[in-house]
Amino acid sequence: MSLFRNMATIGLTSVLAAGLAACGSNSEKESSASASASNDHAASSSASSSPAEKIKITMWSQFSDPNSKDGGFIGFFKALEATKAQFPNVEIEHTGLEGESYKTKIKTASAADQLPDIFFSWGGGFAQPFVAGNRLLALDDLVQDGTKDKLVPGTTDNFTFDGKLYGLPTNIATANLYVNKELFESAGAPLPTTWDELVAAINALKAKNITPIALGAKDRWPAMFWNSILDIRMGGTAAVNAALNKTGSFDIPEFQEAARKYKELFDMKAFGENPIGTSYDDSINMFLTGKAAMLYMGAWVNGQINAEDSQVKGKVDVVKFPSIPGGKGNVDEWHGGSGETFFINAKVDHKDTVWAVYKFFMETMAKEVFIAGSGSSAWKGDMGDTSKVDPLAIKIGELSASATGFSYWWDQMLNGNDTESMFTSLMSLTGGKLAPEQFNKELQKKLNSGK
Amino acid sequence: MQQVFSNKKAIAVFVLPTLILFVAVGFVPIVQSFYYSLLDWDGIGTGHFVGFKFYKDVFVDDTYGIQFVNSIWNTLYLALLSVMIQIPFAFFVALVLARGVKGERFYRTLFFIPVTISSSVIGLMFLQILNPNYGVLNTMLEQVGLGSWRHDWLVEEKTALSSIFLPAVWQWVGYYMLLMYAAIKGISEEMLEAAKIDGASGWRATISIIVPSVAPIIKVCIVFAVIGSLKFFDLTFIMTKGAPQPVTDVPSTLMYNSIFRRNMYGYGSIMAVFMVIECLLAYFALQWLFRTREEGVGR
Repeated sequence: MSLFRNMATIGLTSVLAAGLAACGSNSEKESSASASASNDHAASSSASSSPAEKIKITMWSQFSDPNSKDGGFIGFFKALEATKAQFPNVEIEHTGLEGESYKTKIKTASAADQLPDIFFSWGGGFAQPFVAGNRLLALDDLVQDGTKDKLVPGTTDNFTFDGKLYGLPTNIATANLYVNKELFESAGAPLPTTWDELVAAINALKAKNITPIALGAKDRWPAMFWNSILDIRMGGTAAVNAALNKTGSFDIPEFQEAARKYKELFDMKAFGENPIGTSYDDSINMFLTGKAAMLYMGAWVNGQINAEDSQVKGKVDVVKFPSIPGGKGNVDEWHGGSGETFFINAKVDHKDTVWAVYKFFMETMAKEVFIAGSGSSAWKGDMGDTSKVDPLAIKIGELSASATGFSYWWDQMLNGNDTESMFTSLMSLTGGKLAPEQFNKELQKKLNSGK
Repeated sequence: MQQVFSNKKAIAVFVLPTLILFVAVGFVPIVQSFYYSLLDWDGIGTGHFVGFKFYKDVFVDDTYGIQFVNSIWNTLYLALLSVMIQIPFAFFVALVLARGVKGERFYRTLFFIPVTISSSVIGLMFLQILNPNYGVLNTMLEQVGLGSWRHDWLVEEKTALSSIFLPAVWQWVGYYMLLMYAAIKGISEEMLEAAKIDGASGWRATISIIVPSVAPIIKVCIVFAVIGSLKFFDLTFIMTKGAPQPVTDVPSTLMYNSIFRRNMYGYGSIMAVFMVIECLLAYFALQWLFRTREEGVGR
């Protein structure tokens, strides 16, 4: 039996040794990688005579599916390819992950200080912890190379913290009221320009058994869009932004009236029978299949509306959200703005190369996303051939050209904690558990307590 | 062989790999979570040590209106459903199958299928079934003339919680069935035949012979079901994410929410710590319950 014992010992030892060896080789690899990285750096800074050495840039984004029809995705992947072609010496390693899981991924990576060189993010409250944690590279010095003059004014507000700029904008996204002209005609209702006309249209459409407005409140943020635009019409973007920045109040008479109007829409079944059980995707399908006559949504749906297989292709128009009599906001104030960006890791190697790549990429993406029909460019300059741009996108561009104010998505403006509190209160209001006036009081108490 | 196992060093060497793995992926994170629960940390920057400051807030003050205590009751309700419906039903199915029925293997596989399907698929499937606009359930009710019974199942407060928990109960019936089926199959035929000769058959044999024989497995099933209920996460997360707040919230979804959405790593870690302690306590309570029962029966 001692033979067995010996064998067991030998076996175990070899397993352990293999494990140790694996650890050893791992760390060896790492050190060699960092060595080559520093070589890279030396090469790129001293002389560009050795183009054989490629600089590797890691990039994360929420754009996961290259075959998506969403304009944002199309624009991103076109810009990525263009950037790869523009900088043959740079190897861009892109990782895409969609939606909520992407947010989790960058938060986890940030906690472990393992963020990539360039990563997609939202501005406002979402980015706040990254700034506070010193994870982001400030761009103030870098944009002095003429980049700053190329940007549409006001588009960097959501990426500026304590006077420092951390990200360049790509596009200006607006939420727009899409109307199905065919359904409006069959109901005999004119396209709404005022609140009363909107209510009349809702009643006329309901009489024809058409769901007046498609809304996927199950995903919460589509419901938030309605609350925001009503607040904007009643109180104006300045008041809304002040409340979101904690310099104003959510509990003012204008917003209370907006909350009552919000409730009124649900009570009159303007969103159909089961808006709270309907997801965003379901609501888009309702609109695309001609079951619902209106949709208040961001410009990213343009592509889907005018896609080849869409049943409402060519039947949809876009209008400014109706004005509300007695409201302080006017029809030229918009829900939306520029709030999506890419940030550069504060600890990035090859800062100059990354900046050149980043700059080129952002400008290209701005144009490509515009050409794909999902939002105007936040970069000035020639857009190239716009003949193939989606007619809805052009119309939105025309409508919003006279914009006097923007108020961005609340769930990006607010920090994570406030966002969840806001959604909880909003869904209580939507579900009828909270009266409109209580809703405003609760928002003020939870989000701006002590103010 | 015996020489190997009588050698303490050899035992240590054999146990070590598993022990290291267990400590690294099981024990260390728990201790870490406890440490994090003492921090005021957004999960991104650096945290500040605040001690037990937030503990009271989670359970009593509830500054952010998260209603954690309510979510604990929700999981206890699920545990009750599991023990009262799931396990008796699984036992019944196991009994019928094990005592011989035509197509035994077919039914055994059939009941086990939900266990092999991932929870995400089951969640999405039930989302479709319960969809208020085009779901099978509402459509069927309409077709048979019960249109007034239609509900927005996952939205209305009365039906939301059960609409998540019943699929969860259904999903795991097959698992417990299989465990108990194997145990019942393991009972020796002689014992049952002897009972038959003594005049005990059918119901009497089930109560007096089969249940006591498979009691250890039933206990294991109950422990699994209760612990599984207390840390329930997947279907809630996929189907409602707690909406309508706080009706369908469970501790683990609130923990996820606190950490990843509200950026309150410390606050969420308190919930994690609570769940560890809760599950341990539940385990010991069940053990104690089984033991006192056994002693009671023995006397």
